[in-house]
Amino acid sequence: MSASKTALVGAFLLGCGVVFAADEEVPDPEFLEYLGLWEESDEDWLIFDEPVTAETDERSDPAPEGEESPEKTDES
Amino acid sequence: MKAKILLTLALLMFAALAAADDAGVTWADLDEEQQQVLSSFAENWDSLDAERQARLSNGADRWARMTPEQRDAAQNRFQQWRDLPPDRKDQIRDGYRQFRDMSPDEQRRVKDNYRRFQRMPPERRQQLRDRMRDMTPEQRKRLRERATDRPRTQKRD
Repeated sequence: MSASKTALVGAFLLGCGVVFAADEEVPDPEFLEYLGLWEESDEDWLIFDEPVTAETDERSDPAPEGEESPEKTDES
Repeated sequence: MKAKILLTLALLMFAALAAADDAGVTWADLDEEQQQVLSSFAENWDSLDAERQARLSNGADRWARMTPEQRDAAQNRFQQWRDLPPDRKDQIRDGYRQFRDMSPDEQRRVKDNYRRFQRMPPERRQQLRDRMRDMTPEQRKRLRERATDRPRTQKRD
């Protein structure tokens, strides 16, 4: 392979690399805003997608009279 | 006269601090990686509102520190987030706001609950979801109050 062909292939691969790197390093702004919404990790919102875990808490003390315990099960 | 001058100076300082709070993030405040990720905003950064600047700069910082695997996982969660109906997003944001106001102990308890819930068999999870869905708003409210009514420790600043 001649030097000019080698240089051409090299330039092509370099170009592909630059395009790939550019694609990889500039995410969608909407996605960046989403990441920036959460204080620690964007995983945190998943907790609140489950009302059971967000609104209930396992308690060791009995539920007040007349109040249904969320952890009460039908199993006997 | 001296008191008036001191008062005026105090007011000016207060106004300057308030203005600094509203100023948002300047382009120069961003580090090199953030500027690279946000390069498409370089020209109009100053025209963005302060909240958007904060979200974008936080997001760019987080993105720059993520591994490729973490980026993939976050992209999947973003897709999930986008697919949610607006009212569901509002509910989640409300829950998250309350979570941020909790003490570290309370936050840990909520996260532990979530992990415990995730470890439950699918049938049991569904059973709990159904039970929550069947509750009246009043019952849900009582439950929320009960969950956050425990002794608070190390209240976060």
